[in-house]
Amino acid sequence: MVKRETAVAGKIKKRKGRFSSFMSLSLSFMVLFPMLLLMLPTVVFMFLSMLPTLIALVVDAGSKAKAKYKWLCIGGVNFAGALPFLFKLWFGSNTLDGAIDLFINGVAFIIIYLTAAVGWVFYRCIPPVVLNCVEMSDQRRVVYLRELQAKLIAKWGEEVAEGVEIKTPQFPAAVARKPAAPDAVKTPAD
Amino acid sequence: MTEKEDSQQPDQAAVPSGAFASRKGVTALVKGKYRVYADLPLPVLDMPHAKAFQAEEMSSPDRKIFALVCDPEMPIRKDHIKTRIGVKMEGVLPLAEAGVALWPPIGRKTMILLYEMPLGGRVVYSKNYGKLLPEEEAEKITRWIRPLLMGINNLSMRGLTHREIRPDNLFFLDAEKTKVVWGDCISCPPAFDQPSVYETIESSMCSPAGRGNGMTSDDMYAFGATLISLELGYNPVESLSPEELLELKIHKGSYASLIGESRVSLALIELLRGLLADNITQRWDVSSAQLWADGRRLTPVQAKTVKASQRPFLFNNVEYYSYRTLAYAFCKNWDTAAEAIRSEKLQAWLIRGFEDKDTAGAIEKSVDMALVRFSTKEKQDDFLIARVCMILDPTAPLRVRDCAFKPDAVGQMLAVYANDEKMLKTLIGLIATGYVESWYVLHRDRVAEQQVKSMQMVLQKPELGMGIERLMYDLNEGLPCQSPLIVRDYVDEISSLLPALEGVAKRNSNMNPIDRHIVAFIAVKFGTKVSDQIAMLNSPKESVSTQGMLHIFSALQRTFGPEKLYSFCAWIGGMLTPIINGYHSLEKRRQLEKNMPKLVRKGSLPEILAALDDRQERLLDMSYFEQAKKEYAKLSEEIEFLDGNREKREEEGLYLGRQVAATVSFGVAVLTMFLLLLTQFLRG
Repeated sequence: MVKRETAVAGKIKKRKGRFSSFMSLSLSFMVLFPMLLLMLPTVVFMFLSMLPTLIALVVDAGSKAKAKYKWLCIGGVNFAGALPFLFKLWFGSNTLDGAIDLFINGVAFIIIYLTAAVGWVFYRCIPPVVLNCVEMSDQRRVVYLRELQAKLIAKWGEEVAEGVEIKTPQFPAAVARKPAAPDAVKTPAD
Repeated sequence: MTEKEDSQQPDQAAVPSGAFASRKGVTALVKGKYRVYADLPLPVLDMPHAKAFQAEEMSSPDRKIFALVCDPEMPIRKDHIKTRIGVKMEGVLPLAEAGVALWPPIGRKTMILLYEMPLGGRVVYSKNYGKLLPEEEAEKITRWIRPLLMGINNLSMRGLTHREIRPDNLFFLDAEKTKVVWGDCISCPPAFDQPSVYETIESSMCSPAGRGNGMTSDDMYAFGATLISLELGYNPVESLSPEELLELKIHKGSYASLIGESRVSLALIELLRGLLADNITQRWDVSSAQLWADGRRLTPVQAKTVKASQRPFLFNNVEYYSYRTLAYAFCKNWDTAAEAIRSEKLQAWLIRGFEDKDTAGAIEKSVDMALVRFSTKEKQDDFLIARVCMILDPTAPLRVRDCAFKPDAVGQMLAVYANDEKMLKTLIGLIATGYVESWYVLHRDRVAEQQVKSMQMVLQKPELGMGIERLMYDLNEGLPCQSPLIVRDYVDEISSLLPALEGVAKRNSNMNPIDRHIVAFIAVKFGTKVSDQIAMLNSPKESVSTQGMLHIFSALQRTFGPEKLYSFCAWIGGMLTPIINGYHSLEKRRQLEKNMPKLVRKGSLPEILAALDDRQERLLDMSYFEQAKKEYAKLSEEIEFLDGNREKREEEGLYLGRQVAATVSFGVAVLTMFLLLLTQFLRG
């Protein structure tokens, strides 16, 4: 009985959810569509400019990676590259022809797509650099923690480590240095 | 006493009469008040297990006393010492003092008994001493019977028995030889030195150590036998071996056996018949004897006829007609008895000869009991014979092969055979496997039965403070501690234990100051006050057991002193590492180790204990240690997180890197937008 009631309640919830998403889509369309019509040159220009970002987004969507930051990295710099030309469009001939002309005739699309490439470089180069920093930080922390452990052993003897499995350190540098003098050790007893 | 008799005796009046204060020689000091001269022996006053020496009370040198130096290997009777010191009792040699002292000739401490000097010397000094009792009945009673009876009565009123009543233990207290008294009975276990002529049939069946304290009736029997010897002037059954005499007594009765063809005065016959009655219910007690002495003539005791069968029971080609004789024969022919007991002939003899179905049934039950209780044939036979002997002769002692003792003398047996491992094992077996219990069950003595059960429990426990050693001290108040460490110090009081150990420490401190004997001795003498500490002592954890030891010795020093025990503290101090290591903090350990020599030099165990075993400190140490352990575990977890799984950590690093890249990218976008807007704004 209870199971049935739960199933019915689930179905009702699903229906409600579908209804609300449909309503929000409809509302968005009703607001955005007129704006699209009103800002058609901007939209066309931005569509053409942000094509690398769109491709990255599609690629990201297809990848199995949890964190999908490729399109964000490319998108940010790509957008930064497109902005000066967008300003030019807005403060120049803000028509559909003007927008297409601005993108094709000139250096705009080269610059915009180069900035997208810079975004891709960001995506490729910054994570290894950060990873190295994280590893260095970890090493320092492990060395510090092992020093603390050595101090505890110096104060309480090997018994303090009873029941704790001591593994061979993976960081070669993370082996504890010589324990400090017991007097210098700060422990809860102090 | 006749002139002839006087001439036969050595000059016993030559006992010392002067003061020895100025004398120099090998002496022992008893309780700081009495000096005993080792080079002035008094062989005429020797006892079988104690040598007599001249002694003096330092504060009153004119007081005439002598010392009996006990054999340190022989248990003594502490109950007598406690009751009789300083108490003058008619008919008993007055005990002035008793104490443990170093006896130079043997180089060890022993018990020294200080008695008042019997100025008339020993009454009997050889086998043929001639008739000692006067012919005249009134003199016989007033000079001999009444005072000796008073001696037995005085002890009886104090809950004591003499058990060393025989002619050669009689003394004249005064130089005029008018006051006769019983001599020493403290220097050996009860009746240990008694020839079987002066012991009842049941007591004669026992080994000397197993006769037990007995009852006043046993003293009365011995008194009767002594009177015969004094009357005749010799032991009438001297020529018989103890076994022959016992058999004779069993067959003919004690009175008939001892009197035999001898002629005693008619007046004594009635008294002797009363005193030598084999049936304890018929035997005269002190009041009956006193009534006789007062002149009231009682109905002469007619010995009850022993129940005998018309039909004989043939065992080892000898015909037996009564239970007691058959039981005695079974004991003497142990190896063939089991077969005879199991035979149907015995059952037929009991039923047809005595119409005693109860006894027949009890024996049949014993056969089943032996089968159930023991696995081997030999053990089954032993139990069966012992139990059948108990059934056939209930008043006889517990007899198992060569071992015969009254169950209430089991403590004395343990004490006498303390150094005889084989005998000790036999005794343990008899207690543990239900022989002693069976004896009490057959006597319907529930209290004693429970006591035996508790003894069995003590024996079963292997830990320190239990086992056979505990029983030894539990059942023998005066038994000195038998630990090899201090056996030469004759430690019979708990207060003497630490001074003795201090002495050991001065000589040699390589051994452990605790052994099974010392712990059992403390457990018995110090009672339940140290039961928790003894439990600690038995802990498998070395730190806890050492703590237990320190607690016990500290409690002893606090209670009994002495105030300073420098050598013993140094000895104990070297063994305290496990207690120090009981602290988790290494810093605390180092501090305690540093302070230990100072503490040891104070010579006070309670102070050492206070320093090492501060409860508050220990709790804090434990609490901080637990915190440190948790902290260590937490650090290990973090290290494991950071260093344990690098692949995951790399993944996380890359993830973070991408986040940073995305943020940088958006930062560039925002900055560009800001700059453009600013430019536009400035252009205006």
